[in-house]
Amino acid sequence: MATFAPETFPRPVDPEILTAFDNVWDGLATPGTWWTAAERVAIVAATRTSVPLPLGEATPDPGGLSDTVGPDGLSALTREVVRRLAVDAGRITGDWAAAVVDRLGPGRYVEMVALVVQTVPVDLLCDLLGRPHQDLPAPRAGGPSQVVPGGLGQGGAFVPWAVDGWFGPNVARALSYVPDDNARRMEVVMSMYSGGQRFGEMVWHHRALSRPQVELIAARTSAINECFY
Amino acid sequence: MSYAEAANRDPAAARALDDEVVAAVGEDGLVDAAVIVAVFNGLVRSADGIGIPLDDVVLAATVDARATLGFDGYPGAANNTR
Repeated sequence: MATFAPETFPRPVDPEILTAFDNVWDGLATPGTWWTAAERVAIVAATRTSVPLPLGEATPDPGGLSDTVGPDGLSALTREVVRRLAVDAGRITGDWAAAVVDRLGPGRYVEMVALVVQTVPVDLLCDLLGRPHQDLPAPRAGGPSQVVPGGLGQGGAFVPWAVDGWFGPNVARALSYVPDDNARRMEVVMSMYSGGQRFGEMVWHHRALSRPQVELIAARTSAINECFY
Repeated sequence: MSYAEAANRDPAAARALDDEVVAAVGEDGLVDAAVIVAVFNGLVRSADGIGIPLDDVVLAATVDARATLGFDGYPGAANNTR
């Protein structure tokens, strides 16, 4: 049985979305480009337990956080980066990102972003539909490939991304430093929102809500998260 | 919009609005609304985590709207207009 089988949801969910979720879960259990599978699963576990800092508490300086790995498989530095991405991403600055990339390297940082942004939608949809969170998968053995794709360069983001021959919106190349995770992330986005070729159409008939209704909810979500992009 | 607000701020509390949303747009509409809130919570983290600059065409087309709506005051604006 698929991990995200339709009958595990109390309401009907598009099969394309469930397939994308299955692929995300399978990817979590697989050694990544810069993290082992055990580390990837630990990062997602930390995503789930991340909470905002108490009001008035200063954000820790990444340069001062330990990189000694704790019993949860993550360092204080990694844990704080996950926390920031999971619950405080709207206040990430270029200086903070540069300090983190300096400590972790671009690949490990981008893969952390990729893991957070693939799993937050899965868990949130489960929350909103009244489905328990899916158990995290058992990690497979093996080391990360550490392969840097060709054609990357600086393009105004915090990290290098696809530049050679690139044509498309910046959001689609955001995680191109880790192509396998970026592909799974884009499958989630396409199945839940943009629907491939339909993105350019201003009138949608393939889903329950109209295009304007979808965009209003999307815009409100972005504003609540204070996301400029 | 009340559902979108609640779903972002307190997903468990948003479920109290399920019946009202279903009455307005049907069960598939409720699921659709939840799907959009969920996926955009991933997209905003992609944008802010990577510091994605606005695409040039969008940057040029939204000067007035961004100023009017206060978006240029978001922390991420500095990452997007370098």
